[in-house]
Amino acid sequence: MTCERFQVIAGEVARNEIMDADERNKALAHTTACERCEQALASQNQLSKNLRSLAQEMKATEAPHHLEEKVLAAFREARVRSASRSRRPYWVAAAAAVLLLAIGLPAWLLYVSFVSQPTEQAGAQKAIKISGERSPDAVVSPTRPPDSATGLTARRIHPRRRQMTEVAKLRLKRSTPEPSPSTKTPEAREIATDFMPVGYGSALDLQEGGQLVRVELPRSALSRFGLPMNIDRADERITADVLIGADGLARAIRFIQPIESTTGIQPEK
Amino acid sequence: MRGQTDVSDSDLLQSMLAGDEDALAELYRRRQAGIYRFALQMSGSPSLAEDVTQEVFIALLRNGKSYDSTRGPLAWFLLGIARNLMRQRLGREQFYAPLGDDQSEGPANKLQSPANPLDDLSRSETIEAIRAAVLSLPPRYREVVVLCELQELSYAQAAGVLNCAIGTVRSRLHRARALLIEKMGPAKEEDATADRVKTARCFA
Repeated sequence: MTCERFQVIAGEVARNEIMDADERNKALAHTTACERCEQALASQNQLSKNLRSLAQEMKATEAPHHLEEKVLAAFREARVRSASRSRRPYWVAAAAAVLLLAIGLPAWLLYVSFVSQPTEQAGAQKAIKISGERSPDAVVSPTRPPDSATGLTARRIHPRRRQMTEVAKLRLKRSTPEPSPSTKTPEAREIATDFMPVGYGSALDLQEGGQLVRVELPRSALSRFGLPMNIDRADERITADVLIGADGLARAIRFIQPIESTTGIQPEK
Repeated sequence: MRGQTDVSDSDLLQSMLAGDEDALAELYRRRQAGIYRFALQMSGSPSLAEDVTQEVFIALLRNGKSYDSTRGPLAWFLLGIARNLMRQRLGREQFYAPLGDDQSEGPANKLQSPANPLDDLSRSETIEAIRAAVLSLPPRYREVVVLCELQELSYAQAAGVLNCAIGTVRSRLHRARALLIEKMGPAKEEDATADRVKTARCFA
């Protein structure tokens, strides 16, 4: 065995590491012939002895007792933190819901009032238009004041509040027994049919609102909507309310007859 | 409560992660000494060793789920955490400036006497000398000395703790022992002269 090889394994020989027995024997034999390697082995043995003494001396060394309490306290704190973290989503969700309600509800109410108010104002000021679908004989009376005695002013019809019935179910609506003149309202002095659709549009898609316009038509217009008509009075005029959408097109119509004239649009026999 | 002395470290860890404080207490009592000694032997500072030991168990509370029992016992895992924490601390605080191979000044050299000190010093002085010499090693050599010599781990176990190859542990330990002998041995000049003579005779 050479000195270089011995220097490599000297530490392992001194530490009694598991190694090839033949190599160990050769290494020990080399120390008998080489004083330097013998001294190197002695130094290695001495080092191992000193390190073992140090290890032995520290073998009973332990962490201070108070450290265990510190670690356990950290454990408890971490557990509490973890528990509070796991509860946090419920609190967050509840707080978010309350916040949403507190902010969202007033905002929604404000929005609703904001949307309805300008539409009504616009409806009152809007010029009345009659679509091309209406009867060419129709006469518009735009000069009628909004607060006229008849009360049949152009007013906004909310699409969800006013339901349309089918034409086939058309029937005359007669007001309840005539009230005394002192208590009469404008609506009570009229007979009106249900609204009937005009053209291909539907009165139900008036999301943007609409206007009700009172017009006069030839009595012959009744027959266009399948209503009975006295041919002898075909040249007379009849009052009607036309529901006009925001696009200016007529959507529906109903016929009106003042209560004084009972011979108007009643079905004729 | 069931006695936990015969429960494995892995089972204690699982119980601890499930919130069992007794499991942590038992695990701490089993493993604190080895971790504290490792930290103390690496740093020489009881307060730092105390901090590191505490941080090891806190790290275990946070990252205990990352322990893989197929890669080795929990004791290695804990020592690995302690080693990483110690390297961070030593790098940050520079408790002990590592000595170069041929540095003439430093705590270890101050303990040397002109003659062979190991023959003259009492046992306690010898222990203090070897302790100082170990502390003067560069960290990568110091940790293999602490693990293989002072903690008496095998090469394979130390390699598991250090997460490196067994050959790396072996070569580092070889180098570390050579440095320790040099720090603890006779004066260099005398040694160098003897080396020349002996080498010549050896290769003659």
